[in-house]
Amino acid sequence: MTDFAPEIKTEAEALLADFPNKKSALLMMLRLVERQFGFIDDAGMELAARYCEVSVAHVQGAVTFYTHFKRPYHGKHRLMVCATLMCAMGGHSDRALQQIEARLGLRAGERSADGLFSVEKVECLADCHLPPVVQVNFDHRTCFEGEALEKFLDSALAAEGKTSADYKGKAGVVMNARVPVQPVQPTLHQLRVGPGPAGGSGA
Amino acid sequence: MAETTATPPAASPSNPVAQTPVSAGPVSPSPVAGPPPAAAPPAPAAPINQVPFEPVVSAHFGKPNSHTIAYYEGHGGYDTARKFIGTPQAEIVQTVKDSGLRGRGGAGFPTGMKWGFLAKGTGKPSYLAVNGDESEPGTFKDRYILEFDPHQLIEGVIISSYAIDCHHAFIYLRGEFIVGYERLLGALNEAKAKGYVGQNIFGKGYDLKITIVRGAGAYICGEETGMLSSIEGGRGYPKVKPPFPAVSGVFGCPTIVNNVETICSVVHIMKNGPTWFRQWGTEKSPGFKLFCLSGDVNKPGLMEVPLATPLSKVIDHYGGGVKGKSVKAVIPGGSSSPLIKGDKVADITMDYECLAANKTMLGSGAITVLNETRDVVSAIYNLMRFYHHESCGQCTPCREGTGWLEKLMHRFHHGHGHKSDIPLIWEITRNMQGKTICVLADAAVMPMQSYLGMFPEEFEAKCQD
Repeated sequence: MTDFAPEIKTEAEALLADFPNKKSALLMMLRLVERQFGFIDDAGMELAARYCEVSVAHVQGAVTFYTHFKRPYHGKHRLMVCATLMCAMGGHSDRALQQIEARLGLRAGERSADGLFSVEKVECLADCHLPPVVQVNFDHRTCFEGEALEKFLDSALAAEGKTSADYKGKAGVVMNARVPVQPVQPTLHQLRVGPGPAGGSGA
Repeated sequence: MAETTATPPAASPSNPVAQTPVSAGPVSPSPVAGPPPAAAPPAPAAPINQVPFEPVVSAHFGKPNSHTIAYYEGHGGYDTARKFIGTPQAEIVQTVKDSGLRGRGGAGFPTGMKWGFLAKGTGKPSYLAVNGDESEPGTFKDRYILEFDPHQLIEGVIISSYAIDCHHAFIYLRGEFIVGYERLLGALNEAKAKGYVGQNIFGKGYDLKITIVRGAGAYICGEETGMLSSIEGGRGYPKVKPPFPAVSGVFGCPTIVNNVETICSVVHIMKNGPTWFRQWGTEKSPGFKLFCLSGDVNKPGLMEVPLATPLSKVIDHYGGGVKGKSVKAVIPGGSSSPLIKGDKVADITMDYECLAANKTMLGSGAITVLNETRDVVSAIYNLMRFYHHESCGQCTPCREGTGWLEKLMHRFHHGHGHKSDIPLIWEITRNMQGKTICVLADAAVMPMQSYLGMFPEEFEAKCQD
């Protein structure tokens, strides 16, 4: 049976002690699942259910209620573009989405066939004075269009040993929770506990 | 005036310093009750905000290492908590009551009064739940508090928890606050290591446990009972009120829910006294507040100003003026608040009463400026999509109504509206208002009615018949 790695297991146990009952630790437990496996799949939900002593159905209900948990059908590089009014107003969201489509051939709601990239429109990410706001996996980016986005895409493509040509003209796969997919090597989220770097959001 | 803005360092992709705040979820509908402005003779102009104001809550934003305990203690941090833990709790509650502090999350309910409602002698533990799920589009103030001054929040939690005699506090953050969470967690660990949180705080025999909970992208968790459901470990479904959380909140126990900024203000009120706090603002809206300025202004950002500051000053002085030729409309308090038309901007002061008298609300203090080029129909289409997406689906009027409004607005947005749709929109909104468990439906309806009522010609122009 799947279990947490020893150091995360210690954290999970501390978490259970931190809440008045085990069920209430569920949301934070799911974050540990996300950190250990990179995303929350069926096995991860079973694991959280076991620790929090709730049914898997309850966990599934919670996981699907919230939009930001990383699921297996999301790409390894998950781009979440804010499309709410303040980011959309000056055409910022659209420009970011067009730029992504031009490089990766993906429209909002799609994942590349190789599972490395996915793009989605999300609702307000709360940095409305710096549009467009984009969350990349677990990193918060602001004013993420034009050069900044281009640079990010360059480095992400280079890190995967790919070029835009690998994606141009190839149809993306529509992301859907009901279609089982083989997740790609997950991006592990390293928590930067303790005082972070001086100033700024570390993005 | 010596007011200075607390605008964080210039925001640019190359300067990631200026990234990070929290949001207040759906806000309660404003008490639109107030008499119409015409009926109320203008109050004799008592001079307000004559005392120079320097940022208080945001004083240390953008300073290097402002999130560390060394910096915080170097600037008098935790002295207030040290001073008041062990003193009579009723006096702390009375001080907050006297200050007239109103909730900064949206509804503007007096904080001291709320604390007074906490059910006593129930035999159950009581809880403090700090609402850091600032999801209202346009709001980002709590993000900055968490990133730049998490210790201020922890000190506020210590004082507030002590005042209401609870021994376990939750801080609920929205999932988007990634750095904010890391900084708050780091700060909490530092405070625990120093003995400021935990057993026998400051040697005064008071115990407090603080638990941080992270959401994962749900606007509805900013609604207080939705947040409590989420803390209980499941879907963030709002609960029927009454019973109000102060009687039966998280885990069925008496709970006080306060916004992050409210809790931070408590620290300064305790430190300087209610009279100091009342130097700014009006009788009913005393003090100062963080405002989040976005949209068509030259210098969008976060600022801290006294309440009752004129809106035109906020836009022109702090916001660097409108970008474009003129102001078409202003969203004064987050996406749920009804609009203020451009020609009325000069009459508006940013306080609870003035905005209520103008049939809108202060909300979470998120001001968005729309210039003359903005299409009101596409703006409301965008917002209706937002509310439809964020409706939790418990109540039929909201689940269906927000969807219908989105579909109708989609039609108008693409120029395929019908004249007969306009009465239909009014009917749908009337069938949503006040008919649901929480106020998300009202939060969707208020902008819809306001945009349509204020700019009917723009909707008619998008009709195909």
